[in-house]
Amino acid sequence: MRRPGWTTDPAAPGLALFAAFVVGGFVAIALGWRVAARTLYVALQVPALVSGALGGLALVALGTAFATTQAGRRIAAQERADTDALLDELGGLVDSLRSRP
Amino acid sequence: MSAALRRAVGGLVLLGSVALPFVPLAHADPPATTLTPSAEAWYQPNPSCQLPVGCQALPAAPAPVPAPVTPPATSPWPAGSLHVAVAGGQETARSYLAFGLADLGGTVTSAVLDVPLDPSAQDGSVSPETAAVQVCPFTGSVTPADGSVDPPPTVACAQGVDTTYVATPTPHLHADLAPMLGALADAGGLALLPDARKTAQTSTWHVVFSAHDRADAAKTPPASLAVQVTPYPTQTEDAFPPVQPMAPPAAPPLTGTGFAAPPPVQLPAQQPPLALPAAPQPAPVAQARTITVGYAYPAVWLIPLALLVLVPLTTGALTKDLTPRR
Repeated sequence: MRRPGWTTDPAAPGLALFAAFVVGGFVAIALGWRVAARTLYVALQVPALVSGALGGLALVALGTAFATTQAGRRIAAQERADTDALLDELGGLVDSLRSRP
Repeated sequence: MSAALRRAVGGLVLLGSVALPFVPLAHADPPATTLTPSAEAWYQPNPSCQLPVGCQALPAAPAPVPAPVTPPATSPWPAGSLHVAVAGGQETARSYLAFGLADLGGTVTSAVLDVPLDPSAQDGSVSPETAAVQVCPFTGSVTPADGSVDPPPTVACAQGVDTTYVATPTPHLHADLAPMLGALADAGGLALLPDARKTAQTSTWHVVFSAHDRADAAKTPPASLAVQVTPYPTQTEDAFPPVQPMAPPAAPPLTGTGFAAPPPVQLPAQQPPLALPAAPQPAPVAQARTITVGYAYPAVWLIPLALLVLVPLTTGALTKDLTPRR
């Protein structure tokens, strides 16, 4: 069975992990809302909001920042690889020109 | 057996036979009856009372302007659960139990209330072991209500009794209602409410228990009131001798009432109560007890393990060489 091309990309596992961070953050926000909505007591709503809403927001922000960083690193690695390939081709061209009588 | 021993045994048997009529019979306690509530209700403060305009309630007479309407009761807790709670030093819930005490047909000589608690945080329970709940009789009747914001029945907490939290075998509140036996006969039932004397500004607790008709999975047994009732004296034919016709008086009475004056009653002279020096009372010692309190979300203990896995994964992902393979 042939794997899709994007799954063989070296950045794919990291991006999947950071996407899980974002999803987990939204789940935490939903849980915080659920706990806070089922009680009338502010004293019990505050912990739910702090742990759920703020914790969830932090997870979403962290996952997004890591994903952006990973995408930037992936693009930079691609540019380095392209530059290396271009230099290799130039070197080969120069060698072929030198070897021509 | 010697003759002297035989005589001694015979004497003892004779003395025992003579003393037998003087042996008091075992006192039979009045029959004990366990009552469960016939109706329950719990009330919460009207949230509109926190508005600047004050509490909103239906007026007694129709007003020409549109009348403010009492907000509908909202209970975030399971149906059939009853609540007594304090949050931040403010009472947020109280419960009323109707026991039909007027139908007992006798004088209540003892009453003990036990309220099995629902310790589930999902149902609202918060630190029930710190709860300061008192039991008060109330007048009027109970209409089943689930978090009503209407004015609750009036309680008479001058005769209130404090409850104690008992953790084993199952968590429950226990109260000996001996101090309020006199008020039980005229009471519509018992109210459980926070004891304002023991409530600080930082007090936050919430006890949950079940109504008799609660049906969900977290149901606990309903509150029970164990009472001993002495029946009212009844007039039977065996209790009184047959009535004999009165003989005509031999002489007219001294007064014109038709009845002879009763003989003077000699009342015993009342002696002043003997004043005994107060014995020093030993200082009360709080008994140590083990309370098992669960966590509402025990899965949080997996967070350190998750961090232990996620941090290396994140570090590895952010330092990995991302150069595409050719």
